Amino acid sequence: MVKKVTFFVVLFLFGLIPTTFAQISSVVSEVKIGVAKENETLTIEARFQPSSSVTKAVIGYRSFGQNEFTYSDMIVQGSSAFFTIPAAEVLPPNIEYFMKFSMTTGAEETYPEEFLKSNTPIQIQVQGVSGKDKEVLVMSPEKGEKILTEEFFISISLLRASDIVNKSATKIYLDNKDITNLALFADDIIIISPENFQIQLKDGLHNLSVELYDTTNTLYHSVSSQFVILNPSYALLGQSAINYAGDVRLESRNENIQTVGTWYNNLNVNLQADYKGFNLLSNVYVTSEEKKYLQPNNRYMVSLSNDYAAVTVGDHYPKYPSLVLNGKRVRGFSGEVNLGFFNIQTSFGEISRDVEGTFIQYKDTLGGNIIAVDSIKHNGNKYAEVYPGTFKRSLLAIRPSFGRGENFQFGLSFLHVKDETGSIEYGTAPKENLVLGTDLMFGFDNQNILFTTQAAFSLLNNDISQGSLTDSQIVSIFGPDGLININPEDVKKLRDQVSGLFTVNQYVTPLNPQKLPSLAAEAALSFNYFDNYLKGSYVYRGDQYSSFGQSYVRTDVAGINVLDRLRLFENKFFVSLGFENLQDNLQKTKRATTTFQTLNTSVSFYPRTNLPSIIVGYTRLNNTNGLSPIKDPADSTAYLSAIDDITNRISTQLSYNFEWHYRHSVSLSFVNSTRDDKSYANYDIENSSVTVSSGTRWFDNLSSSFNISMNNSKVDTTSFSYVSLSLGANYSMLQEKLLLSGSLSPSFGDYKRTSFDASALYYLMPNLTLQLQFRYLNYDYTSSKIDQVTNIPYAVKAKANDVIVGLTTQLYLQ
Amino acid sequence: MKKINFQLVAFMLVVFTSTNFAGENPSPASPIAIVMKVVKDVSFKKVDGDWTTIKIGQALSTGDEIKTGAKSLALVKFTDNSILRVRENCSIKIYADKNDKVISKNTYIGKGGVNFEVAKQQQNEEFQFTTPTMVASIRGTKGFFQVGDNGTVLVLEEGAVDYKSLLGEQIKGNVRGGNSVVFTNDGQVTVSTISPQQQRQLEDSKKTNTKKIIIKTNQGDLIIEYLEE
Repeated sequence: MVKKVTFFVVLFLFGLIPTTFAQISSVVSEVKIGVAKENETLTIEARFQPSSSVTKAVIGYRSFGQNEFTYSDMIVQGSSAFFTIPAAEVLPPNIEYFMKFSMTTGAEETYPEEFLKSNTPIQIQVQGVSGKDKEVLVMSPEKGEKILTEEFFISISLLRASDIVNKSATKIYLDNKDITNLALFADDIIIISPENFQIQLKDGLHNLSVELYDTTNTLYHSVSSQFVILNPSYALLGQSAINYAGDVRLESRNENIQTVGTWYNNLNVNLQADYKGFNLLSNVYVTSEEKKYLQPNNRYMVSLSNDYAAVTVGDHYPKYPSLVLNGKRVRGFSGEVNLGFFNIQTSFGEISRDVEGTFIQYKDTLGGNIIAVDSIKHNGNKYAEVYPGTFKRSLLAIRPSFGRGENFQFGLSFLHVKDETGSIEYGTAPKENLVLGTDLMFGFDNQNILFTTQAAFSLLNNDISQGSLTDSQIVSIFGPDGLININPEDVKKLRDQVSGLFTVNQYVTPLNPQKLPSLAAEAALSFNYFDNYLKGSYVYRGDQYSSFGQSYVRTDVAGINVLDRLRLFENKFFVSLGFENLQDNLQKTKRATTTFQTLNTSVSFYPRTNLPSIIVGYTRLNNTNGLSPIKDPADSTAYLSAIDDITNRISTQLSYNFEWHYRHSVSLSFVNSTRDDKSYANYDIENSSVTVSSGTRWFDNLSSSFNISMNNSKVDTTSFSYVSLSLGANYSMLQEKLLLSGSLSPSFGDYKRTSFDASALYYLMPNLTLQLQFRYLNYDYTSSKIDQVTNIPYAVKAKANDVIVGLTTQLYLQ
Repeated sequence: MKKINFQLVAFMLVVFTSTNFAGENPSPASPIAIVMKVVKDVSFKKVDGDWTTIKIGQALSTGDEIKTGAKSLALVKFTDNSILRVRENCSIKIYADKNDKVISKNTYIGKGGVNFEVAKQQQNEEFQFTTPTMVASIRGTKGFFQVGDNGTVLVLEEGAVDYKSLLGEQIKGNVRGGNSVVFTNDGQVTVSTISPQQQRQLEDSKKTNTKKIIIKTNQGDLIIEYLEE
């Protein structure tokens, strides 16, 4: 008895000493991430701090071995931002991400907050597909199946189970409740027949888990599968030719931040329907945060598709080759026809709407934010100082392609983006962008051998307010005696070539397109055989490449990337190795060429039994441009431009699920990153964090979690240390009609904050919920930030008591 | 009389092959398939039992028979994830022989239509279909059998099938997805590409969705379920 009590005390303390990977952030209060499994989509939800006014959220993510992040706009809805990482990008051993937020104040924040300083993203363990998964076949209910209670029964086939599996020891859990005693074991089949199943299942999502044990009664493997129980009334409707599902969510929230109270009201409606091979998707999101002076917060979208064609109207994210258009919200239309041998897709609409600027005062001459105004309208005044607004920016994209993309596809892309100069009165420097691209893929042996390549060429005009230049203007501006020393004939030639399509004047980049400074290209060849994935790629990005359809392409860089990932012992053991060598200064516009070398290594162990899973990773980044005051003593300024730094990062993640009287899960992560800057700036960074999380399911209706995170960082000479704790519990009562949850999360050290969260969710009807949420925040801390212009750290102080109360109702239709 | 003979020959062949598979014989109660869905009039019979109404979740073992009435359907899933959609007015009998983790299956179709989705079979494993006029060996493919008074039609959507006519010259062959094979009672075998009519038949044979009508009465709701056209 004493031992038992001691164990729980230890477990409790263990939970209190190290736990959740709680990143401090003035924007994000919590990040929710599903279970990351190989080749399955992964949704990340960032919940904002109440005081945050996020206008735009961008996520950068990358698989192991990729040194470049893939960026995409997140869907911002109310107090959360969502993004689903495509299944193809979710690969073992891990995926890394960070988020960037634009605020209504114009400021930008990242999550983790120190990302810009430490360049250390957050890692998510990705569980590899196990060969053992095939040993268990859940015959009924099938994964993702929607069924009525009256049709529900469980059937599991162990036909392919290993000889060392003791089939009769198999355990079956439904929503974490052990229902093995209801099962009939008959050789290779386990059945829980409808007659034996007396549990009343609620409508909605349920989880079925199966645990296999070997002959020594050791956990051999476990699988889980989700299914949906349909409400009988909706199921009857669903039996018609049209199958549909949907939900309506209404939220009203009051935030009392620093004594200022604000109401937020949001309505979100999702509807999905299938009819004879046609799929309809729609979403409407209306919020009180919609303001004319901001980019839109409301969202609406309707999409209709079948195997051969698709049309989408409203706010959506069309996907073209990544160099051209990807991850950008477009409000407009997209359509595609996919015949296989020939396909075409097109998109048009606006990527930012017109937001009028603000007049400040009249001026006599042009300047930074001083623009020319209509003198008739402005009583003879020619110039005015303004807070510039945002032009309406329209986009048109077309991509014809040939081939299904299974073994072969060749595509051509066209993208034109232009600010509408007349859309606002007080705006500066309307822009225009033209991108022409091509892409090609060959796949052999079910894409086990895959070759992909794409290239794109861009033109950017940074100010089209005056239109294209005439011949005489070109001659006066360009040439050896003009403002820009470029052959005027080349400019005339460029203007004539793109006449009617693109505005050519002195603000065009590049003005020397023949030297390909705005060319971006990449090619990759991969082999996937003998449980070994080997990929080699080459990238080239000219320093002036720019696509408004893809704002986050790293430019002025070229080099190679090699990745090798070896799977051993039925995907239980992964060894991954990545190396990248890139160089900048492609157009010789910089004083010296910087070489960026990155070595990524990782060893992962996923035993899938009652042993912990472990990932150990090591990353080394070495950046140098060869300039040195020692090597170049004659050059007195060499030290100012010198780049010479090495970053070593070691990370370890350990997670363990086990049963000791109750079901527990424990995880531990450790990250240490050290940047040694040998340049004059001597901008050294040290960062280390230890996080431990534990969760316990005490009873079917009670679970708890304990977390602790310790973080120490030192940027240059500024140190920042804190410890975050979190203690939470979930409890259901009234036959699971009422779900209660609460958590207390204090932080100590240089970051002092205490938050208390409570929530009560009540099922008014099986498909109708009402939720009351409460949050109290007390914070008093000084954080270190980096000035984006001067790159000098500065302190930010914050102190307040905030209260947020929210009421949400949600109706599900199936 | 001739028809009876065909069926007798085929039946004996199935029984003979089923009882002569190498390896251990599963115990009589070892289930090899589960009835996943039942619409209207479907009954089954154990080896030494009588015909009874079948319910979802019913386990099926070697020698079990299923028959369906008009506008009826039974959806059967095997332990290797292979699926049979037994259409209306159809009778089948399933046989299996297990050797370690390998199960060789043989489904005898006496009459009617059966749509099949046979999961990829392991080495030394096979999934056979036998009708009065032919035997087909499948290692992972999709298609449809229609057994009538005039013979058997195999419509193959994907994959490949080895077949053998049981009558006449007992022609052997192989057919690939996109083709159909007609086996007549006089042993003729005709291979051709799938016709539009056969394509429609194939698509119809996959349908398992049902519609329901609720009739509200004083004694409660009466729900009538029927197959979607």
